[in-house]
Amino acid sequence: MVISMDSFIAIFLISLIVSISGNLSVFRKASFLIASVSHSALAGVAFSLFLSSQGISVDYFVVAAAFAIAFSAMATVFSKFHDVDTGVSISFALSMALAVAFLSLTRNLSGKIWSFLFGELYLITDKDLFYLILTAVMVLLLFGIFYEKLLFYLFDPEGSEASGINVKFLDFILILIISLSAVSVIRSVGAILAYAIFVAPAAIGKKFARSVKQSFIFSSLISFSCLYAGLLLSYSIPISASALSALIASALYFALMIKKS
Amino acid sequence: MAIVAKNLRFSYGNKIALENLSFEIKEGEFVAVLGPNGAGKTTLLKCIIGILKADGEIRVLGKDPRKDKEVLRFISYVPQRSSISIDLPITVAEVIKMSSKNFEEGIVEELGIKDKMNTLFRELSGGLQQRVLIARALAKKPRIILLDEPFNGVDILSQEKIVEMLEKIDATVITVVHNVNPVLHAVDRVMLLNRELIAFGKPNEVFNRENLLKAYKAEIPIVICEEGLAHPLYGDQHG
Repeated sequence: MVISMDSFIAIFLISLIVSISGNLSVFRKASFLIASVSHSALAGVAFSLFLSSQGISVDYFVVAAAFAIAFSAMATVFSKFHDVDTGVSISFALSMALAVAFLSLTRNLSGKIWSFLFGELYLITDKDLFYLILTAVMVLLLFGIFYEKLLFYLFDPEGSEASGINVKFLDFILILIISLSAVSVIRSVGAILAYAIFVAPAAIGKKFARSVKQSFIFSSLISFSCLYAGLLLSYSIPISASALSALIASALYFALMIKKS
Repeated sequence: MAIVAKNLRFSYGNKIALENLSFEIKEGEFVAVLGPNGAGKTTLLKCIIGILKADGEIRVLGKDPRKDKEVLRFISYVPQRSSISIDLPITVAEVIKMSSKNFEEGIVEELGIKDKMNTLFRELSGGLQQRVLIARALAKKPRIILLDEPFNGVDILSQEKIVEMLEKIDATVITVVHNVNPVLHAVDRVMLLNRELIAFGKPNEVFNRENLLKAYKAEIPIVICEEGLAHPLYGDQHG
Protein backbone atom coordinates (compact mmCIF):
# COMPACT_ATOMS: atom_id res chain seq x y z
CA MET A 1 0.00 0.00 0.00
CA VAL A 2 2.39 2.68 -1.25
CA ILE A 3 1.24 5.94 -2.71
CA SER A 4 3.10 6.75 -5.92
CA MET A 5 5.29 9.83 -6.06
CA ASP A 6 3.07 11.24 -8.84
CA SER A 7 -0.04 10.90 -6.68
CA PHE A 8 1.77 12.43 -3.70
CA ILE A 9 2.93 15.43 -5.74
CA ALA A 10 -0.57 15.74 -7.23
CA ILE A 11 -2.15 15.80 -3.76
CA PHE A 12 0.34 18.43 -2.62
CA LEU A 13 -0.38 20.65 -5.64
CA ILE A 14 -4.14 20.17 -5.37
CA SER A 15 -4.00 21.18 -1.70
CA LEU A 16 -2.22 24.42 -2.61
CA ILE A 17 -4.61 25.20 -5.45
CA VAL A 18 -7.84 24.42 -3.61
CA SER A 19 -6.70 26.30 -0.53
CA ILE A 20 -6.29 29.51 -2.51
CA SER A 21 -9.43 29.15 -4.63
CA GLY A 22 -11.55 27.73 -1.83
CA ASN A 23 -10.67 30.55 0.55
CA LEU A 24 -11.17 33.22 -2.10
CA SER A 25 -14.61 31.90 -2.99
CA VAL A 26 -15.62 31.48 0.67
CA PHE A 27 -14.37 35.00 1.48
CA ARG A 28 -16.27 36.28 -1.55
CA LYS A 29 -19.39 34.53 -0.16
CA ALA A 30 -19.70 32.74 -3.49
CA SER A 31 -18.62 29.21 -2.62
CA PHE A 32 -21.33 27.78 -4.88
CA LEU A 33 -19.36 29.30 -7.74
CA ILE A 34 -16.88 26.43 -7.32
CA ALA A 35 -19.61 23.86 -8.07
CA SER A 36 -20.81 25.89 -11.03
CA VAL A 37 -17.30 26.31 -12.45
CA SER A 38 -16.50 22.59 -12.02
CA HIS A 39 -19.63 21.67 -13.92
CA SER A 40 -18.97 24.16 -16.68
CA ALA A 41 -15.51 22.61 -16.98
CA LEU A 42 -17.33 19.30 -17.32
CA ALA A 43 -19.35 20.77 -20.18
CA GLY A 44 -16.03 21.75 -21.75
CA VAL A 45 -14.75 18.19 -21.37
CA ALA A 46 -18.00 16.86 -22.91
CA PHE A 47 -17.54 19.28 -25.82
CA SER A 48 -13.93 18.14 -26.33
CA LEU A 49 -15.15 14.51 -26.33
CA PHE A 50 -17.82 15.44 -28.86
CA LEU A 51 -15.17 17.06 -31.08
CA SER A 52 -12.96 13.96 -30.73
CA SER A 53 -15.88 11.78 -31.82
CA GLN A 54 -16.08 13.96 -34.92
CA GLY A 55 -12.41 13.41 -35.63
CA ILE A 56 -11.28 16.79 -34.29
CA SER A 57 -8.63 16.34 -31.67
CA VAL A 58 -8.51 19.03 -28.97
CA ASP A 59 -6.95 19.17 -25.54
CA TYR A 60 -9.63 18.73 -22.85
CA PHE A 61 -7.84 21.15 -20.48
CA VAL A 62 -7.90 24.07 -22.90
CA VAL A 63 -11.58 23.59 -23.79
CA ALA A 64 -12.59 23.00 -20.16
CA ALA A 65 -10.68 26.12 -19.05
CA ALA A 66 -12.36 28.21 -21.77
CA PHE A 67 -15.79 26.91 -20.72
CA ALA A 68 -15.08 27.47 -17.01
CA ILE A 69 -13.91 31.07 -17.53
CA ALA A 70 -16.77 31.89 -19.90
CA PHE A 71 -19.44 30.40 -17.62
CA SER A 72 -18.13 31.97 -14.43
CA ALA A 73 -17.97 35.34 -16.20
CA MET A 74 -21.56 34.70 -17.30
CA ALA A 75 -22.55 33.85 -13.71
CA THR A 76 -21.07 37.16 -12.57
CA VAL A 77 -23.07 39.02 -15.21
CA PHE A 78 -26.27 37.11 -14.29
CA SER A 79 -25.63 38.01 -10.65
CA LYS A 80 -26.11 41.69 -11.50
CA PHE A 81 -29.74 41.01 -12.46
CA HIS A 82 -30.69 39.22 -9.23
CA ASP A 83 -28.08 38.00 -6.76
CA VAL A 84 -24.97 35.82 -6.77
CA ASP A 85 -26.89 32.63 -5.93
CA THR A 86 -29.36 33.07 -8.77
CA GLY A 87 -26.68 34.02 -11.26
CA VAL A 88 -24.48 31.07 -10.35
CA SER A 89 -27.42 28.64 -10.33
CA ILE A 90 -28.53 29.64 -13.82
CA SER A 91 -24.99 29.35 -15.12
CA PHE A 92 -24.73 25.94 -13.39
CA ALA A 93 -27.96 24.70 -15.01
CA LEU A 94 -26.91 25.95 -18.42
CA SER A 95 -23.51 24.27 -18.26
CA MET A 96 -25.02 20.96 -17.11
CA ALA A 97 -27.59 21.08 -19.91
CA LEU A 98 -24.77 21.64 -22.40
CA ALA A 99 -22.72 18.79 -20.89
CA VAL A 100 -25.65 16.39 -21.28
CA ALA A 101 -26.36 17.67 -24.80
CA PHE A 102 -22.75 17.16 -25.94
CA LEU A 103 -22.62 13.70 -24.36
CA SER A 104 -25.87 12.74 -26.08
CA LEU A 105 -24.31 13.69 -29.40
CA THR A 106 -21.08 11.85 -28.64
CA ARG A 107 -20.79 8.21 -29.60
CA ASN A 108 -18.31 5.68 -28.22
CA LEU A 109 -16.39 8.22 -26.13
CA SER A 110 -19.14 9.27 -23.70
CA GLY A 111 -17.98 6.63 -21.16
CA LYS A 112 -14.79 8.66 -20.70
CA ILE A 113 -16.75 11.37 -18.94
CA TRP A 114 -17.01 9.22 -15.80
CA SER A 115 -13.41 9.84 -14.82
CA PHE A 116 -14.08 13.59 -15.02
CA LEU A 117 -17.26 13.28 -12.99
CA PHE A 118 -15.75 11.41 -10.03
CA GLY A 119 -11.99 11.74 -10.54
CA GLU A 120 -9.16 9.22 -10.48
CA LEU A 121 -6.70 10.34 -7.86
CA TYR A 122 -4.58 7.19 -8.17
CA LEU A 123 -4.44 7.29 -11.96
CA ILE A 124 -2.65 10.59 -12.40
CA THR A 125 -0.92 10.79 -15.78
CA ASP A 126 2.14 12.87 -16.64
CA LYS A 127 -0.12 15.19 -18.58
CA ASP A 128 -2.45 15.68 -15.60
CA LEU A 129 0.55 16.39 -13.42
CA PHE A 130 1.85 18.89 -15.94
CA TYR A 131 -1.50 20.72 -15.89
CA LEU A 132 -1.50 20.70 -12.11
CA ILE A 133 2.01 22.20 -11.98
CA LEU A 134 1.09 24.78 -14.62
CA THR A 135 -2.08 25.74 -12.75
CA ALA A 136 -0.32 25.89 -9.39
CA VAL A 137 2.30 28.24 -10.80
CA MET A 138 -0.31 30.48 -12.44
CA VAL A 139 -2.60 30.52 -9.41
CA LEU A 140 0.29 31.24 -7.03
CA LEU A 141 1.57 34.01 -9.29
CA LEU A 142 -1.82 35.68 -9.65
CA PHE A 143 -2.50 35.27 -5.96
CA GLY A 144 0.92 36.67 -5.01
CA ILE A 145 0.64 39.65 -7.31
CA PHE A 146 -2.90 40.61 -6.32
CA TYR A 147 -2.98 39.35 -2.71
CA GLU A 148 -3.23 42.73 -0.99
CA LYS A 149 -5.76 44.15 -3.42
CA LEU A 150 -7.83 40.96 -3.30
CA LEU A 151 -7.85 41.04 0.48
CA PHE A 152 -8.96 44.70 0.53
CA TYR A 153 -11.65 43.96 -2.06
CA LEU A 154 -12.95 40.84 -0.29
CA PHE A 155 -13.08 42.61 3.07
CA ASP A 156 -14.48 45.91 1.87
CA PRO A 157 -15.65 46.02 -1.77
CA GLU A 158 -16.88 49.63 -1.61
CA GLY A 159 -13.87 50.93 0.28
CA SER A 160 -11.46 49.26 -2.13
CA GLU A 161 -13.25 50.72 -5.13
CA ALA A 162 -13.19 54.13 -3.47
CA SER A 163 -9.45 53.84 -3.01
CA GLY A 164 -9.02 53.49 -6.76
CA ILE A 165 -8.77 49.70 -7.06
CA ASN A 166 -10.27 48.37 -10.29
CA VAL A 167 -12.76 45.95 -8.74
CA LYS A 168 -14.08 44.67 -12.07
CA PHE A 169 -10.57 43.59 -13.01
CA LEU A 170 -10.10 41.99 -9.58
CA ASP A 171 -13.36 40.08 -10.03
CA PHE A 172 -11.96 38.79 -13.32
CA ILE A 173 -8.74 37.71 -11.58
CA LEU A 174 -10.85 35.91 -8.98
CA ILE A 175 -12.82 34.15 -11.69
CA LEU A 176 -9.61 33.23 -13.49
CA ILE A 177 -8.04 31.74 -10.35
CA ILE A 178 -11.18 29.78 -9.45
CA SER A 179 -11.78 28.57 -13.02
CA LEU A 180 -8.21 27.38 -13.60
CA SER A 181 -8.21 25.66 -10.22
CA ALA A 182 -11.48 23.85 -10.86
CA VAL A 183 -10.32 22.66 -14.28
CA SER A 184 -6.95 21.46 -13.00
CA VAL A 185 -8.48 19.14 -10.39
CA ILE A 186 -11.32 17.80 -12.51
CA ARG A 187 -9.31 14.71 -13.56
CA SER A 188 -8.08 13.88 -10.07
CA VAL A 189 -11.00 14.88 -7.82
CA GLY A 190 -13.88 15.02 -10.29
CA ALA A 191 -16.40 17.76 -11.08
CA ILE A 192 -19.02 16.52 -8.63
CA LEU A 193 -16.73 16.07 -5.62
CA ALA A 194 -14.48 19.08 -6.20
CA TYR A 195 -16.92 21.24 -4.26
CA ALA A 196 -16.26 19.40 -1.00
CA ILE A 197 -12.48 19.56 -1.36
CA PHE A 198 -12.52 23.27 -2.22
CA VAL A 199 -15.11 24.55 0.21
CA ALA A 200 -15.07 22.41 3.38
CA PRO A 201 -11.35 22.97 4.25
CA ALA A 202 -11.64 26.69 3.43
CA ALA A 203 -14.75 27.05 5.59
CA ILE A 204 -12.95 25.32 8.48
CA GLY A 205 -9.88 27.52 7.97
CA LYS A 206 -11.96 30.69 7.95
CA LYS A 207 -13.71 29.70 11.15
CA PHE A 208 -10.65 28.71 13.19
CA ALA A 209 -7.84 30.87 11.80
CA ARG A 210 -6.44 33.84 13.70
CA SER A 211 -5.33 35.59 10.51
CA VAL A 212 -5.98 35.40 6.78
CA LYS A 213 -2.64 33.71 6.12
CA GLN A 214 -3.45 31.11 8.78
CA SER A 215 -6.75 30.41 7.04
CA PHE A 216 -4.89 29.55 3.82
CA ILE A 217 -2.36 27.38 5.69
CA PHE A 218 -5.06 25.54 7.69
CA SER A 219 -7.17 24.81 4.64
CA SER A 220 -4.23 23.53 2.57
CA LEU A 221 -3.19 21.21 5.43
CA ILE A 222 -6.77 19.97 5.81
CA SER A 223 -7.13 19.40 2.04
CA PHE A 224 -3.83 17.54 1.95
CA SER A 225 -4.81 15.34 4.91
CA CYS A 226 -8.27 14.56 3.49
CA LEU A 227 -6.92 13.70 0.03
CA TYR A 228 -4.08 11.63 1.44
CA ALA A 229 -6.37 9.76 3.83
CA GLY A 230 -8.93 9.23 1.05
CA LEU A 231 -6.30 7.79 -1.24
CA LEU A 232 -4.87 5.52 1.46
CA LEU A 233 -8.30 4.25 2.47
CA SER A 234 -9.25 3.57 -1.15
CA TYR A 235 -6.67 0.77 -1.19
CA SER A 236 -8.58 -1.12 1.49
CA ILE A 237 -12.16 -0.01 0.83
CA PRO A 238 -13.69 -0.43 -2.64
CA ILE A 239 -14.74 3.21 -2.83
CA SER A 240 -13.12 5.85 -5.06
CA ALA A 241 -10.39 7.95 -3.44
CA SER A 242 -12.03 11.27 -4.31
CA ALA A 243 -15.35 10.15 -2.79
CA LEU A 244 -13.57 9.11 0.40
CA SER A 245 -11.64 12.41 0.51
CA ALA A 246 -14.85 14.38 0.05
CA LEU A 247 -16.55 12.30 2.75
CA ILE A 248 -13.72 12.93 5.20
CA ALA A 249 -13.62 16.67 4.41
CA SER A 250 -17.40 17.03 4.83
CA ALA A 251 -17.48 14.95 8.03
CA LEU A 252 -14.59 16.97 9.46
CA TYR A 253 -16.42 20.20 8.65
CA PHE A 254 -19.61 19.09 10.40
CA ALA A 255 -17.74 17.69 13.41
CA LEU A 256 -15.69 20.87 13.91
CA MET A 257 -18.64 23.20 13.39
CA ILE A 258 -20.72 21.26 15.93
CA LYS A 259 -17.80 21.35 18.38
CA LYS A 260 -17.31 25.08 17.82
CA SER A 261 -20.99 25.87 18.33
CA MET B 1 -12.29 74.43 -2.67
CA ALA B 2 -12.42 70.80 -1.63
CA ILE B 3 -15.62 70.00 -3.52
CA VAL B 4 -17.67 71.95 -6.04
CA ALA B 5 -20.88 70.48 -7.44
CA LYS B 6 -23.17 72.11 -10.00
CA ASN B 7 -26.51 70.69 -11.06
CA LEU B 8 -25.54 67.21 -9.97
CA ARG B 9 -28.07 64.58 -11.00
CA PHE B 10 -28.12 60.84 -10.57
CA SER B 11 -30.77 58.17 -11.20
CA TYR B 12 -30.96 54.44 -10.54
CA GLY B 13 -32.82 53.47 -13.71
CA ASN B 14 -36.00 55.57 -13.65
CA LYS B 15 -35.67 56.41 -9.99
CA ILE B 16 -34.12 59.80 -9.40
CA ALA B 17 -31.73 59.73 -6.44
CA LEU B 18 -30.28 63.23 -6.72
CA GLU B 19 -31.34 66.23 -8.75
CA ASN B 20 -30.08 69.75 -9.33
CA LEU B 21 -27.66 69.53 -6.47
CA SER B 22 -25.26 72.47 -6.30
CA PHE B 23 -22.94 73.23 -3.40
CA GLU B 24 -19.39 74.10 -2.45
CA ILE B 25 -17.35 72.74 0.44
CA LYS B 26 -14.15 74.48 1.50
CA GLU B 27 -10.95 72.66 2.42
CA GLY B 28 -10.87 71.82 6.11
CA GLU B 29 -14.63 72.10 6.60
CA PHE B 30 -16.54 69.54 8.69
CA VAL B 31 -19.92 68.86 7.08
CA ALA B 32 -22.73 66.54 8.16
CA VAL B 33 -25.13 65.31 5.47
CA LEU B 34 -28.54 64.20 6.65
CA GLY B 35 -31.97 63.40 5.38
CA PRO B 36 -34.53 60.58 5.44
CA ASN B 37 -33.91 57.09 4.08
CA GLY B 38 -33.58 57.20 0.30
CA ALA B 39 -32.68 60.90 0.34
CA GLY B 40 -29.55 60.24 -1.70
CA LYS B 41 -26.98 60.70 1.07
CA THR B 42 -24.89 57.61 0.28
CA THR B 43 -25.40 58.23 -3.44
CA LEU B 44 -23.91 61.69 -2.98
CA LEU B 45 -20.78 60.27 -1.32
CA LYS B 46 -20.39 57.73 -4.13
CA CYS B 47 -20.78 60.50 -6.72
CA ILE B 48 -18.07 62.51 -4.96
CA ILE B 49 -15.60 59.64 -5.27
CA GLY B 50 -16.73 58.79 -8.78
CA ILE B 51 -17.96 55.23 -8.05
CA LEU B 52 -21.29 56.48 -9.37
CA LYS B 53 -21.12 58.66 -12.46
CA ALA B 54 -23.47 61.56 -11.91
CA ASP B 55 -24.57 64.02 -14.57
CA GLY B 56 -23.65 67.64 -14.06
CA GLU B 57 -20.41 69.13 -12.88
CA ILE B 58 -18.33 67.89 -9.99
CA ARG B 59 -14.84 68.91 -8.98
CA VAL B 60 -12.98 67.31 -6.10
CA LEU B 61 -9.72 69.08 -5.25
CA GLY B 62 -10.03 70.63 -8.69
CA LYS B 63 -10.32 67.29 -10.52
CA ASP B 64 -13.25 65.41 -11.99
CA PRO B 65 -13.43 62.14 -10.00
CA ARG B 66 -15.38 60.45 -12.80
CA LYS B 67 -12.36 60.72 -15.08
CA ASP B 68 -9.35 61.32 -12.87
CA LYS B 69 -8.84 58.41 -10.47
CA GLU B 70 -5.59 59.99 -9.21
CA VAL B 71 -7.65 62.24 -6.96
CA LEU B 72 -8.68 59.15 -4.96
CA ARG B 73 -5.19 59.09 -3.48
CA PHE B 74 -6.21 62.09 -1.39
CA ILE B 75 -9.61 60.76 -0.34
CA SER B 76 -10.57 58.20 2.27
CA TYR B 77 -13.98 56.61 2.28
CA VAL B 78 -15.47 54.81 5.26
CA PRO B 79 -18.47 52.81 4.05
CA GLN B 80 -21.32 51.57 6.20
CA ARG B 81 -20.20 48.63 8.32
CA SER B 82 -22.99 46.51 6.81
CA SER B 83 -21.14 46.48 3.47
CA ILE B 84 -18.02 44.97 5.02
CA SER B 85 -17.27 41.22 5.22
CA ILE B 86 -16.91 41.26 8.97
CA ASP B 87 -16.46 37.48 9.31
CA LEU B 88 -13.08 37.32 7.54
CA PRO B 89 -10.28 36.13 9.86
CA ILE B 90 -8.48 39.44 9.51
CA THR B 91 -6.60 41.24 12.27
CA VAL B 92 -6.94 44.92 13.13
CA ALA B 93 -3.36 45.54 11.94
CA GLU B 94 -4.14 43.92 8.57
CA VAL B 95 -7.22 46.13 8.17
CA ILE B 96 -5.34 49.36 8.90
CA LYS B 97 -2.43 48.41 6.65
CA MET B 98 -4.83 48.12 3.71
CA SER B 99 -4.60 51.87 3.23
CA SER B 100 -1.05 52.51 4.42
CA LYS B 101 1.72 50.19 5.54
CA ASN B 102 3.52 52.90 7.51
CA PHE B 103 0.74 54.47 9.50
CA GLU B 104 1.40 56.71 12.49
CA GLU B 105 0.98 54.90 15.79
CA GLY B 106 -0.61 58.05 17.23
CA ILE B 107 -3.77 57.37 15.25
CA VAL B 108 -4.42 53.98 16.83
CA GLU B 109 -3.40 55.32 20.22
CA GLU B 110 -5.82 58.23 20.07
CA LEU B 111 -8.63 56.02 18.87
CA GLY B 112 -7.95 53.65 21.78
CA ILE B 113 -7.22 50.57 19.67
CA LYS B 114 -3.45 50.26 20.11
CA ASP B 115 -3.77 47.11 22.23
CA LYS B 116 -6.13 45.52 19.69
CA MET B 117 -3.73 45.34 16.76
CA ASN B 118 -3.47 41.54 16.81
CA THR B 119 -7.14 40.99 17.63
CA LEU B 120 -9.44 39.69 14.92
CA PHE B 121 -11.65 42.44 13.52
CA ARG B 122 -14.71 40.18 13.80
CA GLU B 123 -14.14 39.80 17.57
CA LEU B 124 -14.44 43.55 18.24
CA SER B 125 -17.60 45.37 19.28
CA GLY B 126 -19.38 47.52 16.68
CA GLY B 127 -17.89 50.66 18.21
CA LEU B 128 -14.33 49.35 18.10
CA GLN B 129 -14.81 48.06 14.55
CA GLN B 130 -15.86 51.53 13.50
CA ARG B 131 -12.80 53.04 15.20
CA VAL B 132 -10.59 50.61 13.26
CA LEU B 133 -12.23 51.65 9.98
CA ILE B 134 -11.66 55.32 10.88
CA ALA B 135 -8.02 54.53 11.74
CA ARG B 136 -7.64 52.83 8.35
CA ALA B 137 -9.09 55.92 6.65
CA LEU B 138 -6.80 58.29 8.56
CA ALA B 139 -3.67 56.15 8.05
CA LYS B 140 -3.68 57.32 4.45
CA LYS B 141 -3.43 60.98 5.61
CA PRO B 142 -6.31 62.03 3.35
CA ARG B 143 -7.20 65.59 2.39
CA ILE B 144 -10.85 64.59 2.30
CA ILE B 145 -12.52 61.94 4.42
CA LEU B 146 -16.02 60.73 3.61
CA LEU B 147 -17.94 58.68 6.16
CA ASP B 148 -21.22 56.85 5.66
CA GLU B 149 -23.26 56.48 8.86
CA PRO B 150 -20.22 56.08 11.14
CA PHE B 151 -22.32 56.12 14.32
CA ASN B 152 -24.73 53.30 13.44
CA GLY B 153 -24.61 50.66 16.17
CA VAL B 154 -21.77 52.51 17.89
CA ASP B 155 -21.70 53.10 21.66
CA ILE B 156 -21.42 56.59 23.17
CA LEU B 157 -17.74 56.21 24.10
CA SER B 158 -16.78 55.25 20.55
CA GLN B 159 -18.94 58.05 19.15
CA GLU B 160 -17.07 60.56 21.30
CA LYS B 161 -13.65 59.14 20.33
CA ILE B 162 -14.55 59.27 16.64
CA VAL B 163 -15.92 62.83 16.76
CA GLU B 164 -12.90 63.98 18.77
CA MET B 165 -10.57 62.51 16.16
CA LEU B 166 -12.50 63.92 13.21
CA GLU B 167 -12.45 67.39 14.77
CA LYS B 168 -8.71 67.18 15.27
CA ILE B 169 -7.54 66.04 11.83
CA ASP B 170 -6.34 68.39 9.16
CA ALA B 171 -8.78 67.34 6.43
CA THR B 172 -12.17 68.10 4.97
CA VAL B 173 -14.68 65.82 6.69
CA ILE B 174 -18.03 64.93 5.17
CA THR B 175 -20.12 62.51 7.14
CA VAL B 176 -23.51 61.08 6.34
CA VAL B 177 -25.54 60.71 9.51
CA HIS B 178 -28.97 59.43 10.33
CA ASN B 179 -28.88 61.21 13.66
CA VAL B 180 -26.88 64.43 13.57
CA ASN B 181 -26.75 65.01 17.33
CA PRO B 182 -23.51 63.09 18.16
CA VAL B 183 -21.63 65.27 15.70
CA LEU B 184 -23.59 68.53 15.82
CA HIS B 185 -21.21 70.41 18.12
CA ALA B 186 -18.24 69.55 15.92
CA VAL B 187 -19.56 70.36 12.45
CA ASP B 188 -19.17 73.64 10.60
CA ARG B 189 -22.21 73.14 8.39
CA VAL B 190 -25.01 70.65 7.81
CA MET B 191 -26.52 69.65 4.49
CA LEU B 192 -30.18 68.65 4.56
CA LEU B 193 -31.07 66.47 1.60
CA ASN B 194 -34.09 64.80 0.18
CA ARG B 195 -33.01 64.01 -3.37
CA GLU B 196 -32.60 67.77 -3.79
CA LEU B 197 -30.82 70.20 -1.53
CA ILE B 198 -33.25 71.41 1.13
CA ALA B 199 -30.78 73.53 3.08
CA PHE B 200 -27.04 73.87 3.57
CA GLY B 201 -25.58 76.05 6.27
CA LYS B 202 -24.86 76.37 9.96
CA PRO B 203 -26.99 74.07 12.15
CA ASN B 204 -29.16 76.87 13.48
CA GLU B 205 -29.86 78.13 9.94
CA VAL B 206 -30.80 74.67 8.68
CA PHE B 207 -32.78 73.20 11.56
CA ASN B 208 -36.11 74.94 11.50
CA ARG B 209 -39.62 73.57 11.26
CA GLU B 210 -40.02 74.37 7.57
CA ASN B 211 -36.78 72.71 6.39
CA LEU B 212 -37.27 69.61 8.52
CA LEU B 213 -40.86 69.24 7.36
CA LYS B 214 -39.74 69.55 3.75
CA ALA B 215 -37.00 66.96 4.21
CA TYR B 216 -38.73 64.40 6.43
CA LYS B 217 -42.41 65.05 5.56
CA ALA B 218 -43.07 64.92 9.29
CA GLU B 219 -42.97 67.23 12.28
CA ILE B 220 -39.58 66.91 13.95
CA PRO B 221 -39.29 68.61 17.33
CA ILE B 222 -36.33 70.92 17.79
CA VAL B 223 -34.66 71.66 21.10
CA ILE B 224 -32.05 74.30 21.80
CA CYS B 225 -29.16 73.09 23.91
CA GLU B 226 -27.25 75.09 26.55
CA GLU B 227 -24.79 76.19 23.89
CA GLY B 228 -27.63 77.59 21.80
CA LEU B 229 -27.52 74.94 19.07
CA ALA B 230 -30.73 73.66 17.51
CA HIS B 231 -31.01 69.86 17.81
CA PRO B 232 -33.64 67.98 15.81
CA LEU B 233 -35.14 65.15 17.87
CA TYR B 234 -35.76 62.10 15.73
CA GLY B 235 -38.12 59.21 16.41
CA ASP B 236 -35.34 57.01 17.75
CA GLN B 237 -34.69 59.48 20.55
CA HIS B 238 -38.20 60.02 21.85
CA GLY B 239 -39.99 56.99 20.45
